[in-house]
Amino acid sequence: MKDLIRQKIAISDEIASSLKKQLQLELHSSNSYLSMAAWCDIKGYTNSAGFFYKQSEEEREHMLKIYKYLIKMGVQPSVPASKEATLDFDSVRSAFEEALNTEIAVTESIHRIYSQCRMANDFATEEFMRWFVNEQMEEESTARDILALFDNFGSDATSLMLVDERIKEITA
Amino acid sequence: MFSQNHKEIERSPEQIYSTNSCASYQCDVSNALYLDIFGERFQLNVCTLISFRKKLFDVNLESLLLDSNSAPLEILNLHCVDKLFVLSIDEIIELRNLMEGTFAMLQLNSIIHQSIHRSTLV
Repeated sequence: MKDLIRQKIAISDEIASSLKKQLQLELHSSNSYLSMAAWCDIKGYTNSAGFFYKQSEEEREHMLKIYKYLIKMGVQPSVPASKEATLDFDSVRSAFEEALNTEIAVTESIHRIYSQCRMANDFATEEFMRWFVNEQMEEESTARDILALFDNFGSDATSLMLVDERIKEITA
Repeated sequence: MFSQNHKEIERSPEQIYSTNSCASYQCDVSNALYLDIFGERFQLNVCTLISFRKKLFDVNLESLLLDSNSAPLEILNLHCVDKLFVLSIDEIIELRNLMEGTFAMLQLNSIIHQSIHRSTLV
């Protein structure tokens, strides 16, 4: 009897299932960033809003990257549903703190999948996930740099506008 | 439901797994999988089989049993043939058993190919 499963699908059920969960997490991140962007836009933090809009697009691109990888490996992914993102924030700083927390959650999930690939000797997916490991280092680092600005400038209205100006430089 | 592939199935169906009223087959000529489900035969590919298994295991049997406001039935669809199944709890359990057995056998077949056939290529 032919090995149809292996002929059609190049990754295990377990790895495929983890990647599908990651799709959902990336989509949730994208929506969370969109929500942060809207909040900042309404409050007049234009550059922060720009940063979050850009992040939202990037997270969606990450989702698509995984989506296309699953299809390439013979897995038919379903379109993930996402939990509703937080709509309100105490301050612009708390929006960035939430952004860092989201990135940390994504990093941890990526690391779990990477480790799972190693255990399963799935070298192809491990290689694919390496890009995400590096990407997450960058994402976390950027979020930390922005939070450091709030520490350095303070939280009065003028300082917050200065921070918003600096965010444009960080993300340029 | 034998349709146009009937002759091919007749020539090369290999049973993968069976339960009391259901069975799964693989045809190496058409590279297709077949499910005999309560008297009807359906042709499907690997992805559809995986999707159908997920749907079966996503059914919450406990709530079906405990919900006194509705009949203990679940409606599931099989994409490739536009077929809707109205399944009782017993039937869902039997189909789950079929899926578990089928995938265990397919994985066993994969291991055999890996360790006997493919490993001898080098």
